[in-house]
Amino acid sequence: MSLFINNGLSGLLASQRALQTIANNVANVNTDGYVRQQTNLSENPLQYQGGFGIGTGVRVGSVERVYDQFLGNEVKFATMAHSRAESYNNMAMRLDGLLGNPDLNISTSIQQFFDQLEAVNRDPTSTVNREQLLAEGDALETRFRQINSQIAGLGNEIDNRLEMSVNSINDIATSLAKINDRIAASGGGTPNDLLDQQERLLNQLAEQIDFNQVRQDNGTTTVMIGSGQPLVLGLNSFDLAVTPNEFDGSRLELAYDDGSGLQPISSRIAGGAVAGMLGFRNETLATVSRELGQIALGLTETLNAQHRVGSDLNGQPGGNFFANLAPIASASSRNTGTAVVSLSYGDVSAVNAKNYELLYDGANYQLTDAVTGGSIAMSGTGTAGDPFVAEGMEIVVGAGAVTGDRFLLQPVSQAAGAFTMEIADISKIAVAAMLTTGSSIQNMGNASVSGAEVSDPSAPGLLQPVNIVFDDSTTFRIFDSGGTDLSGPLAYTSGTAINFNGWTAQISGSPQTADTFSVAQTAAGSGDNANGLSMATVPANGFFSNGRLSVEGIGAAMLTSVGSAAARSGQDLIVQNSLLGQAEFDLQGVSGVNLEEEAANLLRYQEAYLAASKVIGIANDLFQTLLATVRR
Amino acid sequence: MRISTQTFQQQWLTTIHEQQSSLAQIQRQISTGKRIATAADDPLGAAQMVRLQQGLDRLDSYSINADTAQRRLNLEESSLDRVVDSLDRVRELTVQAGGAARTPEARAAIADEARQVLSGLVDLANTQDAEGRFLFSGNRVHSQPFSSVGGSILYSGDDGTRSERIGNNRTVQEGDSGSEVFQTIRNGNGTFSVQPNAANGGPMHYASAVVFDPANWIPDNYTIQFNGVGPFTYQVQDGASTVIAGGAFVPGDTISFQGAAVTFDGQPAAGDTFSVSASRNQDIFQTVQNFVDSLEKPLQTPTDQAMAQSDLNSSLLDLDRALEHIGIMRARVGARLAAIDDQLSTNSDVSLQLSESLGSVRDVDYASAIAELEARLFGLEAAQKTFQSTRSFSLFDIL
Repeated sequence: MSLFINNGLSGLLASQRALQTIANNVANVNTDGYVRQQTNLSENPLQYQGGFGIGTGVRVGSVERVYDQFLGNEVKFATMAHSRAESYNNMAMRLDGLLGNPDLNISTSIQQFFDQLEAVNRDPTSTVNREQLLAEGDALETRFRQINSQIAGLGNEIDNRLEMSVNSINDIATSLAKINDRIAASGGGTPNDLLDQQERLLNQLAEQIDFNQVRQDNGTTTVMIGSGQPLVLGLNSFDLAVTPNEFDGSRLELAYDDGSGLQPISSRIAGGAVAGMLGFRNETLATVSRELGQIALGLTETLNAQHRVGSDLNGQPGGNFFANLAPIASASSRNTGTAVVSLSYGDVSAVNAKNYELLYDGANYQLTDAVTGGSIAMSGTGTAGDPFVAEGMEIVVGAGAVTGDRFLLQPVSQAAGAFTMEIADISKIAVAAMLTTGSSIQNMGNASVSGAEVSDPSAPGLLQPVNIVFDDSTTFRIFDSGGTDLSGPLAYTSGTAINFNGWTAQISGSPQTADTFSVAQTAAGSGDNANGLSMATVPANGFFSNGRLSVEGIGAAMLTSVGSAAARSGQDLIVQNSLLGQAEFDLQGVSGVNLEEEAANLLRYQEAYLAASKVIGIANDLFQTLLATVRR
Repeated sequence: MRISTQTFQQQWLTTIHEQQSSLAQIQRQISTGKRIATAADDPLGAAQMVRLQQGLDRLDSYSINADTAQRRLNLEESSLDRVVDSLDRVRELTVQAGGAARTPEARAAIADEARQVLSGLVDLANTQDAEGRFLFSGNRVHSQPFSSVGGSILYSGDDGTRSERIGNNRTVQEGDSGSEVFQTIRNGNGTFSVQPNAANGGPMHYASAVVFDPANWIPDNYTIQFNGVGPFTYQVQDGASTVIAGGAFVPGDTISFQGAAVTFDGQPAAGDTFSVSASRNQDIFQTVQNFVDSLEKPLQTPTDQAMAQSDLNSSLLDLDRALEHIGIMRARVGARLAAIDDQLSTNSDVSLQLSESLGSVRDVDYASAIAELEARLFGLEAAQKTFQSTRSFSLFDIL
C-alpha cells in the first residue's frame, strides 16, 4: 500500500519539478543567452517481492541545459567575423561621410585653384586676379590640412576605441576567471546559470577579439588570444594593454605582457571589433592618407618645377609656389643599434604611394614594401655620396646598426599635413616666360624667332641677354650685349632648335646678313602668360608611374579608395550578418525557448500531475476502505 | 524544425530593418535626384563623376578664356579696320596730290589732313582694352607703345604675344605686337625701293618699279647713273661699285637688272643718280610722315616737280604695302576668331556629352527607383502582416 502511495507521490513530485523547469523556461523566454533547460526523468529501481519486481515510481534524473557545443562555437566564430566587419564598416562609413562626397573631393579644390590660374592667365598683370590666386592657394592648403586632420582624427578615434576595447576585454577576462572559480567550487553539480553566464561572457569577448577556447572537464574554460597567449587560465586572468607603435609613437597597438615587457600583438588579431579597427587603420586609412600625400607631393613638385622656369612681375625667375616637402624615415623604438637613416627625394616622379621597411640583416640593408612584404631592389651603397636609390627615394644610412634593426620609410604619408603655400607676395607669381625673344626691326630677311623655352633652369648663363646675329644666310653667331662673340659661327637650318645657356629657341625662315635676334630676361611688369599656360596643365599631366598617373587621377582614385572601403565592408557586413544570423538560428533552434513547446509540455505535465494526484487519492480511498473494514 | 520564439521575433525584426534601410536609401535617392551621395554608393562611379566634373569645369574656364580672347580680337579687328580706313584716306590724298591740285594752298591743306590722319593712326596704335592694357605693346601691357620722340614715332613695346587656352590641346593668340602690326612693313615694292638723289639736276622721275624675276634678285644697294646729253646712257653699279649693267637710255625706257625693272620718265642731267635698295622695314607712321614731308618741299622748278613725282610714287608703293600688310594682319585675326568659334562649338558638343555622361552616372533613373520603392513598400507591408497573423496563434490562448 505504501508503495502505491509512494509511486503516486514520486510522479507528483517529478511533474512538479518538470513544471518548475517549464516555468523557468517561460520566464526566461526573452533572456539573452539563456539556454533552455529540460527535466530528465528516470524510473526508480524495482522492488522484488516474492519473485516479482514491482515498480517504485519515477525520479528526476537531472535538469540539464539543452546546448550544442559545436553550434555555440559556430556562433562565437561568426560573432568574431561579424564584429570585425561591423567595426570596419562603421569606420569606413565615417570616412566615406567625411571624404566620400564627390563634390567636396580634394580634386574640386585643386580645380578651383587652377580655374583661378586661368583667370590670372587672362590678365596676368591684374593684382585682383593674383590676390585671388593666393586666396585659392590658401584655401587649397586649408583643404589639404583639413582632410589630413580628418584622417588623423579617425586614427585618434581608433586609438580611443582600442583602449576601450582593451578595458572591456580585461573586464571580461576577470569575470571569466571568477566564474571559473565558482564553477570549480560547485563540485559535481550542474551550475546551469554559471554556464549560461560563461557563454554570455565568451560571446561578449568574441565581439571584441578573436580567441581560442578550451573547455576543461570540470566546466571551467581556458581562453587564448593572438598566437596562443593565455587570457584566462583557470582562476587567473591576464591583462591586455596598449603600447605606442614602434615607428609612430602617436599610434597605439594592442600589446600583451609576456613577462619580459609589453609585446605588440596587433598583427596577430584576426577577429572582433579590435581586428576591424586595426584593419581599417592599416588598410583603408593608411591607403587614403598616402594617396592624399601623393597628391600633395605631385602638385607641389610639378607646379614648382613649372613655376621656377617662369618670370614674375618683378622680372625675376619664379621660386617655389608651394613649400618643398620632405619624406620621413623613422627608426623602430625596438632597435638596439644607434644608426640613423635619412631619407630624401630623388626622382619624385618615381615615388609611389607606399610605405617601406628597411631592415639591417647584419651585413646588408633589405628594403621591403611595408604592406605586402615584397622585396624591393636598391642601387647604391647607402653613403651620402652614393645613397641607396629605390622608388624615387634616396636613402643614406649612418653607422651603428645592429642586426634586426628596422626603419620605416614614408615618402608620402606626411606630405598632405605639410602642404604649405610658400609664395606670399602676389608679384612673385611667375606666369610670364622667363626669357623674351625679339627680332630687330632692321632685319632684311623674313626669318622669325620662336619663344625661348628653359631646358636647364640651373644653367649659369640662363639669364644672360644675347644677340643671335647672322653672318650670312647660312651661319650665325651668338654675341653678348657687349658684342663679345660667345659661340660660332654656327650653321643655320630653318626651324632647328638653337640650344644655348640652358634655353632652346627656333629661328625659321630665310635670314639675311646682319639680321639680328635677341634672347633676354623678361622685363618686369610683363603681360606674358606663356608660363601660366604651362602651369595650368600641370594637374592633368601624367607625372607618377612613368607619366601614367596625374595628380587629378590620384584624386579620383582616392575617392574610389574611400568609397570602395565602405562599399566592400558593407557587403562583407551583409554576408557576416547572414552567417551570424544562421549560426544563431541554428543554436537557438536547439537552445532557445519555444513558447508553443513549453505550452504543450505544460499541458503534458499538468495532466501527469493530475493523474498522480488521482493515484494518491485512490490510494487514500483504498486505505480508508481498509481501515473501515478493520474498525468494524 | 525547432525555432525558438525569440529567434522568430528577431528574424522578423531583421527583415523589417533591412526593408526600412533600403527604403530610406531609395527615398533619399528619389528626393535628391542623385544616385550617388557619397563614394560608398558607387566607388567607381564617384571617381568618374569627379573626372567628368573636372572636364566640365575646365570647359567653363575655356569658354571664359575664349570670350576674353574674342573680346580682344574683336577690338583688334575694329582697330585694324580703322587703320585701313585711315590708310585708304592717305592713299586718296596721295592721288589728289599727284593730280591737278598743285597750288601751295591745296598742298598745305592735303598736308594738314595727312598730319591729322597720322595722329589718328598713333592713337589707334595706342588702343587700350577694357582692362586698360595696351593692345599693341606686346607684353609690356602697361606702357604706351607708340610715342612721338623728336618728330618720329618710337615703339617701346616688345615682340611678345599672349595666348589663351580654349581647348584641351588648343591655344589661340589673342593679339599681335605693335612691332608686328605697324612696323614690320617692307617699303617700296616689297623687294626694293627707288630713291632719287636729292642733288639730281634733271627733271626726271621714276614711274614704276617692279620685280619681274624674283629668282634673279640679289638684295643690295644699287646705283643707276645717267650720263650724256642728247643720246643718254646709263649704268648700274652694285654695292661694291661694280658695274653690272649699262647702255643707251631714252626717256620712258625701262632699265632692267638682276630681275628688277625700273621705268624712268623725263630727261636726266648728266651725273644724275637713283638708288635702288633692298626693301627694309618702314613703319606706317614713317610712310605717312614721308608723304607729309614731300608735300612740304618746294615745287617750283621742273626738277622739284620730278622729285615730288618720285616721292608720290614711293608713297603710293609704301601705302599699298602697308594696306596689304594690315590686310594680312586682319585676316589672321579673322582666322583666330573663326578658330575660337570652331573650338567653342566643339567645346559645347563635348560639354553636352560630358553632362550626359555625368547625368547617367550621378542621377537617379526615376522609373526604376520608383518601381523599387514600391516593391520595398510592398515587402515591408507583407512582413508586417505576416508577423501579425502568425503572432495571433498561440497555444497559450487556449490554456
